[in-house]
Amino acid sequence: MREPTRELASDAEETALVERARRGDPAAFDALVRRHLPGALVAAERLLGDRADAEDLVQDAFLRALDRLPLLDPNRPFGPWFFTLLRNLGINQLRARKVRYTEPELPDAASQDPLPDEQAINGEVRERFAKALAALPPRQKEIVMLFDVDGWKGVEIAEHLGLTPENVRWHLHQARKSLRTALAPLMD
Amino acid sequence: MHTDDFDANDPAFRSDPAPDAMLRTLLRDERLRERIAVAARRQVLRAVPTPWYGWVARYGRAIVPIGVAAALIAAVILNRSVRNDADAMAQAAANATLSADLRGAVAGGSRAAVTDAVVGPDSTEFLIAMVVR
Repeated sequence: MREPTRELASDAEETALVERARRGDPAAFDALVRRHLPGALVAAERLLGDRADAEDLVQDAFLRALDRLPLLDPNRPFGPWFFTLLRNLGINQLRARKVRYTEPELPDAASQDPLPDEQAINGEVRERFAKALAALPPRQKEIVMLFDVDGWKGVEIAEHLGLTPENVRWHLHQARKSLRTALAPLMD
Repeated sequence: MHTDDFDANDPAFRSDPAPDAMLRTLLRDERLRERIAVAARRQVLRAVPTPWYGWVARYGRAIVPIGVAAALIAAVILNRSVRNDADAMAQAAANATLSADLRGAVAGGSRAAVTDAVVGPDSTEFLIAMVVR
C-alpha cells in the first residue's frame, strides 16, 4: 500500500505531467507511459488473453489517450480515465473479433494491480533499467533483445548478425552484466 | 571465469546462458515503451499544423521538377489550342471565298461556271507542267 503523502506528491506530479503532455511535451507523455505501462499490460493481457494483442491494445490506448488529452478534465486523475479508455478499446476489439464476449474480471479502473512479476518491479527500477539499456552499445542491445525477449538461440543470432556464437554470447554476457549492475543497488 | 575481453575459448561462451525472467519482463516492457514513444512523436508531429516554410523544406526538392513538368504540359496544351484556332479561322476564310464564288456562278446560270467554282477551273496547265518537267 502506498503512503498518503507519497500518493499526494505522486498525484500532483502526474497532474503536472498531464498538463505538459497536453502542451505537446513528448518527455512528459513518455513519463506517463512509463508510469502506467505495467498496469496497462496486465489489464490488457487479462482482457485479451494474449501478450502480443495486449501490447497492440496498450499502444493503441496510449495513442488514443494522447489524442484525447485535451478532453480530459484537469481535475480528474489520468489513471482511471486511461484505464477506462483501455478497457473500452479492448472490449471493442473483442466484439470485433466476434469472440463470445463475457464481462472480463477486470480490476476497477482506479486500482490496476499488476501481476506478481510486474509488481515486483517498481518505477525506480524501470527508470534505471531504461537508462542502462539506452547506454548499451547498439549491437549488445540488439543481442540481448533477440535472446531474452524474442527467445532466439545464440547460434541463430550469430547467423543473423554474421558473428560467431561465442562472440554473441560474450556480447550477451556484457549486456546482461551492465543491466544487472545498474539494477543491483535497488534489488534485495 | 570470463573477463571483459573476448576469449573465444572461454568455456562460459560455449553454450547459451539460462533465461532470466526479470530481465525478460523489463526488456519486453521497455521495447513496448520505446515503440509507443516513437508512435506518439509521429502523432504529435502530424497534429501540428505545418507553416509555409515547413512545406517548402519538405517539398522543396519536388517543386522544381513538378513546375517544369507543369510548364511543359501547359505549353503543349496552349500551342495546340492556338493552332486549332488558326486552322479554324483559315477554314472559315476558305469557306467564305468558296461560297462567294459559288454564289456568283449560280447567279450567272452557266453549268461550266458552277463546275469551275466547285472543283476549280478547267485547265491544261498541269499537262504542260508535266511535259516541261
